Formats: sequence, C-alpha cells, structure tokens
Amino acid sequence: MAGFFRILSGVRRMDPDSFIPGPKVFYANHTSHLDFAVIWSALPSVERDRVRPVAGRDYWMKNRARRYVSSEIFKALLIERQHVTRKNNPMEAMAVALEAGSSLIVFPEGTRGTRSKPVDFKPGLFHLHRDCPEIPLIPVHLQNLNRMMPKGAFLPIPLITHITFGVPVPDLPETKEAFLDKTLTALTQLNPI
Amino acid sequence: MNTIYQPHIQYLVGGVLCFLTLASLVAYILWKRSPDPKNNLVLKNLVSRIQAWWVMVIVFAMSLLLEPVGTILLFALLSFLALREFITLTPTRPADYKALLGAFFLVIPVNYFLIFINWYNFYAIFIPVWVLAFIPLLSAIGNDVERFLERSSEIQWGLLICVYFLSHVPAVLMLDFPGFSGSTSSLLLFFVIIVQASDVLQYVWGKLFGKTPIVPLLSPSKTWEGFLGGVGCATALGTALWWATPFLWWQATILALIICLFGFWGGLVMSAIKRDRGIKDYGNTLGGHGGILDRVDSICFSAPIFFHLIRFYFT
Repeated sequence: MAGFFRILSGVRRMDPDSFIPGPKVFYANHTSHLDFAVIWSALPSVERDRVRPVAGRDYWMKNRARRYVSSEIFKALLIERQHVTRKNNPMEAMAVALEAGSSLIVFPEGTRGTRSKPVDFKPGLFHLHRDCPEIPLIPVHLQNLNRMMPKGAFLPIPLITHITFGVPVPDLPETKEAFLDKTLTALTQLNPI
Repeated sequence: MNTIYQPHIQYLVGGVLCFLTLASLVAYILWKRSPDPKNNLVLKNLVSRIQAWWVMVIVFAMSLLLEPVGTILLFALLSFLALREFITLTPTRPADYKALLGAFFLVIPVNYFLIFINWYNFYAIFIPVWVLAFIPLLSAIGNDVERFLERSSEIQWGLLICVYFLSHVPAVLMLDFPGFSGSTSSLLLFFVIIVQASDVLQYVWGKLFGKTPIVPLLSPSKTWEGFLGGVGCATALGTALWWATPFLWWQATILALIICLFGFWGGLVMSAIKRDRGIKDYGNTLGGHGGILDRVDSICFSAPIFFHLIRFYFT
C-alpha cells in the first residue's frame, strides 16, 4: 500500500535515522486529498506503524468506503470539527494518542488550500503544544500535490511530489501569535523554490 | 520467427552484454585499487551508472522478445515517465487539470496504438496537429489566465519531446525495407546502440581528456574533447555495425554521424531547460544517471530525424 503511493507520487522512503525516536507531531501544508497518504508512505516503516493522521470525523465517517480507508488503512484519529463539546474535545483525543505512543499528522491550515503557499494556521497546533509540550513538532512541506489532485478532481495527474521533512521546531514561543507565526515560517522555509 | 532468434539481433545484444561485462570488470578493478572507494564520488557514480545500465539493457532486451508489442509498450512507459518528469517542472496550475489528464491518459495510449496498428498517416499528424490544437483549448476552459501562454506551450513541448519524438524509436518498426532480409528490430537496436554509445563515449572522453567546455553556462561537463572523441568513436561504431542494417557501410557512417550530432544537441537543449529551472537532474529513477529524461534526452531529438531520413531514402 505504501509502495503504491510512493510509485504514484514519486516520493522516496525516508531513512529511519533521519528521525528522532519517540512520538512526534508532523504538521504539513494541506493541498490535496493525497496529502496524508503521501506523508505516510514516505515515512520509514518504524515511523509509519505508529503514525496516525488527524482528520475530520464529518468527512471520513460519511460512507463505508471512507470509514474503511480512514480506520483500517491509515488508523486515522477522527476528530469533531463542527459540534465540539467537552466530551469530544479533539485536543484531549490527540493528547491521549500521543501519550499512548502514537505520532500524529496534522494540517494546521484546517481546510485544503487552493494556493500553493500555506495560509495562516488555525490555533489547534498551539493548543496541542500547550497540552503536550515535550512532543517535538516537525514541519513537513508538500509540493505539487495541489497540481496533481486539485479540488474536485477524480483521477490524480501523475506528477512527482516533493516532500521535505524539517527538523523539530526549536524554542517555541509562549504566546499564541508568535507560536503560530514561528511554526508557519518553519514550514514555509522548507519550500525549495 | 521470433526476433530474438535472428542472428543480427543476437550479435548486437550479445555485443552490448560483452561490453557491459567488460565495463563492470573495469569498474570492479578500479574499486579494488582505489584507496578509499566509498568516498570517491566519480567512482561511486560510475558504479551506479553501470548497475543502472544492466537493468536498462535487460529490460530492453526482454522487450525485444515480444516484438513489436513489447517495444511499443516499453516506449509508451518511457514516454509516460519522461512526461511526468517534464510536467513536474512546468508551472501548470489546477486549471490545466483536463489538459494534463488528456496528455497522460489519452495522448500516450493513442499515439502508441497508432504505431501498433501501423497507421502512419494519422500517427504523423496526431500529436502535431490534433493534440497541439486541443491542449490550449482545454487549458483555456479552466478559466485561469495566469502564465497561460507559458503553461500551454510547455505542455505542448512536453508532449512533443517526451511522446511524439520519443515514439519515433518504435515507429521504425512500421517501416518496410524492400530487399532487406533482416528484421527492423535490428535497425531499432542499431539506432539505440549508436545514440547511447555516443553518450557514454562522450562521457568517457570528457572525463579523461575534457578541458574546453563548448557552452560553459549550459553544461560544464560537455567539452570539445569529449564531443569530438565521443562522436568520432560512435560514428566508427556505427560504420562497423553496418551489417545489421539495410545500409551500405558509408551510408551507415553518415547516418551514425547524424544520429550522434542530433543526440548531442538533444542533450544540450534538455540541459538548458534544467539550468533554467535550477535543477541538476530530472529525477532519481535511474541511479547515477538521474531521471528517465536525463537518459532519453539524446534519443528524443535524434529519433525523428533518423526515422524520416531512412523513411525517405530507403523505403
């Protein structure tokens, strides 16, 4: 399955030594449906086994096929986006998953962008960091995926995706604005062009 | 009779395999004699290039077993991979989705199918007329004007080079040579061997004696020494292989020289595109060589010239 996505997207599997051990949060720019599948397939198997993409429950529970893909293949952590209550607090679910030893893939922009550059981050990443401050945040930059599979497309154009993993963002600021600004800059800087 | 049992083909394939074995032996000896082979970048690159050559030669020879379907399918796949590398570099936008979908999933199959059914007249105009006219139309429907001319002309160029030009290699199989007893596959093999030998020999001559770059801004590794030595040797090789073709020996000389010259220019043009985009290789599919497009660039430009010269003079 991972091999299939690697052939489709042209990414290479990363070397296991290029990641620090333990649970971590990968945050990436959101450009297409294929985003988390591509990140997932580029990870070495030891990282792939414990990674869980964070995705919207409303979209991925809609029908049986989506439910199967999200729960059986990617072991997605489905979160509530619309009616958030104390009971289904997405932050808590993420913190629990991280404590259980999983890594997470998150898209702090929320929805998929139509532009190739990342837009402003939603505050979720900040809250996640406040709840689990010891977890490293790793920026992941995806390029070309929005050209491969623009919104509404049914068949991907077989371009070559460029995926760049950054180093864990150091010295994260205390305030929300500075934090979001710093994490966004760390991601944008990975853009090779 | 199956192609692979014909003596011409066996001699050509056998010769390439012998040469590759020799190259592997030389690389092995160099590796053993080098004090620190793991840190010798040139040597490492040479070894991975030779390894990739083994894969390419074996795949190519296997495709000859299933002539002509195998060869046609192989080149259709090469077109697909080369176009993929090319389009990745272009500034196409989501509005080009329909045009690109057509380019990958319709134009390539149809183009190679026309070769398969031997419909030369339509094959010759399918991409240059029909496809080139439809591509900007499909992009325009996407309702996005930003860099429109650049986007559509680059898709057109990609299709022309990676699909139309490249497909002239298997198109040689469509030709019929009156009075030639051998198979056209041996002609195809003759062509591919000359182009690739010219590339390899230019590389070797350049590495050994290269001093004066021809176009330093485009490619510092393409030198006059490498060019003259490589093209000269490959032309001599072409002459020596005249028996596998319907040509006389001096005709083989002229054709080999033309193939080498256009192959060199093809490599130069594709280097210019790479420099323009600020990259070194088109991809990383073929270890040491770069991407598919880095390997077939010289074939793309010489194949249509070779095809039309022999079609005009020999059929």
